[in-house]
Amino acid sequence: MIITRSWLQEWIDISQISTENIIQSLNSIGLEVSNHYKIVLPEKVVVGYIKTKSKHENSDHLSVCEVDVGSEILQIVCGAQNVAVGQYVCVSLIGARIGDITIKKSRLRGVDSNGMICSAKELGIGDLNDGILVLDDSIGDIVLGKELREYTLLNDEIIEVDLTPNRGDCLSVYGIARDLAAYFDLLPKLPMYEEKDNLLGIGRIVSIHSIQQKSCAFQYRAFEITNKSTIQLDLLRRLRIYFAQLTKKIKLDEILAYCTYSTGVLLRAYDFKKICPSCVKIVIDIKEEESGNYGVYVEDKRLSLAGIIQEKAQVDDETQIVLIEANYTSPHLIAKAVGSNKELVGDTHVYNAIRGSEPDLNVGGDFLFSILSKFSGLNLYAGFQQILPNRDKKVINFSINSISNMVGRDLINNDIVKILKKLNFEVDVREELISIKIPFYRHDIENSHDICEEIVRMIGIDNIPSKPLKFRESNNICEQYFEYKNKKHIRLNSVANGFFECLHYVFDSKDELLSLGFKECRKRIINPINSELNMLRPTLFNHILKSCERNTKNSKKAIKLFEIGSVFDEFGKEKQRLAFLASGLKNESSLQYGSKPEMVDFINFASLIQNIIGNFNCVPTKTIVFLNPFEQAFIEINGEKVGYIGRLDLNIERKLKLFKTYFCEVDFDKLKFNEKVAYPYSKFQSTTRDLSFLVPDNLKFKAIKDAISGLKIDELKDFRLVDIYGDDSIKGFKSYMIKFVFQSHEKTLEDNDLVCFIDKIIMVLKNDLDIGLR
Amino acid sequence: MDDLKSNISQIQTLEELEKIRIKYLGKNGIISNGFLKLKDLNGEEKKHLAQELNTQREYLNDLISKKKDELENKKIEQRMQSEAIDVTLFNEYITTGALHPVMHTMDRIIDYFVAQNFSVKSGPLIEQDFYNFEALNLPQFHPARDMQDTFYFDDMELLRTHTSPVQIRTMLSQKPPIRMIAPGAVFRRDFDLTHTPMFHQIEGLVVEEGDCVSFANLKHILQDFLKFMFGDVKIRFRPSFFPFTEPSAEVDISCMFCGGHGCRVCSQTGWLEVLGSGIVDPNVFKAVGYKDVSGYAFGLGVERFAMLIHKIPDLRSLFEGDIRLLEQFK
Repeated sequence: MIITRSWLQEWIDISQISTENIIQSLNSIGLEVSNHYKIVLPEKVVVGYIKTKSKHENSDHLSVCEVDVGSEILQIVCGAQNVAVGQYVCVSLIGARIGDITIKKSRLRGVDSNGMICSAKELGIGDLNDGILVLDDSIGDIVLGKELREYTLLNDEIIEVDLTPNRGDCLSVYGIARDLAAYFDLLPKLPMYEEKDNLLGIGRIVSIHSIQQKSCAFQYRAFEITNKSTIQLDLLRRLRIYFAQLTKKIKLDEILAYCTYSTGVLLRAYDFKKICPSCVKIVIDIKEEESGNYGVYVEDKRLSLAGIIQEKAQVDDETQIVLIEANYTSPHLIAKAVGSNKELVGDTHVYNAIRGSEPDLNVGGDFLFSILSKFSGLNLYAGFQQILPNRDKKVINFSINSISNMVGRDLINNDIVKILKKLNFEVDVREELISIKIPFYRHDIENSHDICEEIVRMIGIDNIPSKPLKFRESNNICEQYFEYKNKKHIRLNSVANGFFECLHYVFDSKDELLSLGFKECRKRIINPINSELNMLRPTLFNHILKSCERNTKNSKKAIKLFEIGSVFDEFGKEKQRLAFLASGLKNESSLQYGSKPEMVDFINFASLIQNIIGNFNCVPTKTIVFLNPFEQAFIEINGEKVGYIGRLDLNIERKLKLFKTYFCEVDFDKLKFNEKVAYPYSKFQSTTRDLSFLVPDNLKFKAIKDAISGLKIDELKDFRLVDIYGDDSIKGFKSYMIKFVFQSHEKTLEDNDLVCFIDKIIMVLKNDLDIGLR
Repeated sequence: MDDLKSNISQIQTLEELEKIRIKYLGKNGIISNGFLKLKDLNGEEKKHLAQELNTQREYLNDLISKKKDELENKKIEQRMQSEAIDVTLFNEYITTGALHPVMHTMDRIIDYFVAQNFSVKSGPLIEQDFYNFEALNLPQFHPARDMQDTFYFDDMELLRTHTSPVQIRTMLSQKPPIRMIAPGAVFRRDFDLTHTPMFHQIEGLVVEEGDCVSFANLKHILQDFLKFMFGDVKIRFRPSFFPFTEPSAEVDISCMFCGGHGCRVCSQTGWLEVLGSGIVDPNVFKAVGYKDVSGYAFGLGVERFAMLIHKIPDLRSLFEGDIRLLEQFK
């Protein structure tokens, strides 16, 4: 809602209240002010009167005007099409600053010009109309030569209020004024409309017929247009229409929109002749539709659905007799209709109706007719025809005590009663119990919590104390907290190992995922945000790969990323995954790593992952289609597959212009986070021996590992491959240097003990795998 | 003897010193040879020479060992000097990675509430209408549903639009007292400069039997929490509307970018909205079958907190894994 100070002033007397105070008060009663500013017209711009206008002799589009600015008559050249003799206009005198320009004496195509006649846009008011701004007395008495910045109505203050969806009653200037009035203890000003005596009664052309119902109110009025050129809103109102963006193609529609915006009453205009070209009088029939909504019928022809849509007999510029309908429909009926027809959502009429429009139809009708009565070319009909719903005001009972407890502060009976009365609730007090009747326009009030909210916003949250709540429960550490802690543990480990945490959307591109060999998720998003994000992701791979690509394009040489997030299987079941990607250099070049650091490799990448998730084995596989088939493995912990690791398929690396890139994805739920258990360790010295074996190229190291482990030598504490060597002299073979660590729990091992163990190892490798020492 | 003393004092190397030592104190050294003469002497004379030789030997020993210490110290000194490094060569990158600022902010928020004995709860991202809307007093066709544009699946399940369904799940699975937060990803169909289709929220809920939970309690914890997160800022509560709380309030902090004078970030208002909160609406309790309880709830956007605290200008950059941003949080 955009309102202006002068507009608000029309509905509540705020002349003694500063704008700052109004804004603060609106915020404190729950009508959030999201923006506000003041229009300040430039200095040396004054009221002028166009005395004469003649055509510029050297130009088709320029006019030369004599303009009376009170103290003198100035010759000014003007290019606007709408300039005319008899207009009061805004004249920038010599020396005025308009935007970035200072007005100077000038010659335009040979004619002297001593100032400028301004448009609203040039004055900083806004793009109100084509051509110059023409003044009228709606902004105050027109005094020639008076500075325009002295007209307060022209230098208005604009206040933008963000309304919450429950406050349909404040979707009008009147509504906001009414709420502010309660806060400031003032009375809102209602429109005054007094009918003239000699008007024709509306009963001559319209009567109304309806069933008894509880949800709708209709009121009909009418007028006849005899001279449409007199229907012209004054400058002040046109300014407001511009600020509130109510501009409409058809003038009558614009006036109605202005009245609805001012009063909150939903108004519609019908062209009487279009309803029934031959009728002198029509009978309006209000009928309940199957949907529960109410239709407006004439001779079984539906003209409109109340609060939703006008289907027939719209007014146009040729309309002569206009039938005005003011309507209120219970918001929940509108909500149902909108629920089944989403196209209605954007309509402003529906927007107001669904949030609850003003049920006091008289306010709207009177306001409209008070404006229309000022136009000379109209004949208004006297009175109105209306039907009102048969309903009682809602009653809510509550105790002062319950409100005090909810607020957390002792409240006094009288204070509460006073606040509720100011808000137009009818209050009945019986000792501790209060019974109130809710005004029809407050659709949002349904229970004692709503009443509490009214109290809270009127006394102000600032006046509520701040009190700690006492503990009553035992400790709250739960399973999900441990899951969070475990994730945090993994995240911190990842960071310590050089990986950057990233976040990506859980949606991903279906086409790309299918091309990576993933199956389509059967849980389909029916309204994806775009075709790039149209499927729940089955993997963290694709997004992280794209982030890698972006970073590569940004000239990053060492890229290490990780993510913990949700993925979804083919059936839409959610799982937690952990993914790592390392691309390019192991480290950025520096004194420590040299000017040309090494590229990341499988062993290096896997060992970083192991630092993070704990010990694992690599089990060779070729099943991950987007990884290089000759450099990929399942990650196995305690015999369970928990994820996979490997280098990207080289086609992907090449296509995306990536450096050497490794990826790993792990099922988070399969990781274990048990507390470590210490085992007894020997107090005797350990001894190491390095042995080199000649191993055929096609033998996997795992075979050697299994053979040695199979010996179950208790004293063999550890053995690890520490070097691989190969040259032409040992073609078809590689030399593996393995470091063995021996240690006994009983004694310091002696040479002959060691010889015995090493012989066993050499024997088993010879016998089982036919490999020997180099 | 005095000559010898000045001789030793002029020696520059350990090798020369060793030569002198051998010359005088070695097996065939001058002193040792002196002792050999003793066997040819008797009585007082012998005694006298022996004394003299012993004194000389001790004197020499002392002289040489002092000189040796001196020379060794000098040698180490020289070695240290020759091995000196330019400590200003230290100019390395930090080689760790960094936590994502949004996740780090989430960690800090969780830290606060865990210290207040809140439990940490989670729930599924794919939700049913009942948990996401219906039970939260957002019946079908309610205009407040417009506030949250929703992603739907063809079976009419949806991606949760807030973390509030975790409230409902928790209340349905346990009895009061409840003191919980629910951190996690949420989804809305909105994608522009200031909206991403996925972002993160933290939801808080406190429920107790009877009517002991008040708005004053809510005010207390949120004030304390915001001071913990943002430091010394002013805090303002504004009445507002959420379907699942009544009375409701939005909470603003004074703008840290302009000190509350008004700037572009705070739309000239001097205030930044950071939280939504309120007393739990009785319809929510009704939906989960709770009777005679009271409670408060609140919710916040983690991205917004992270962007304000770390002065990150662009929301969308948070989802692009861009190291240029992330490496600033090392």
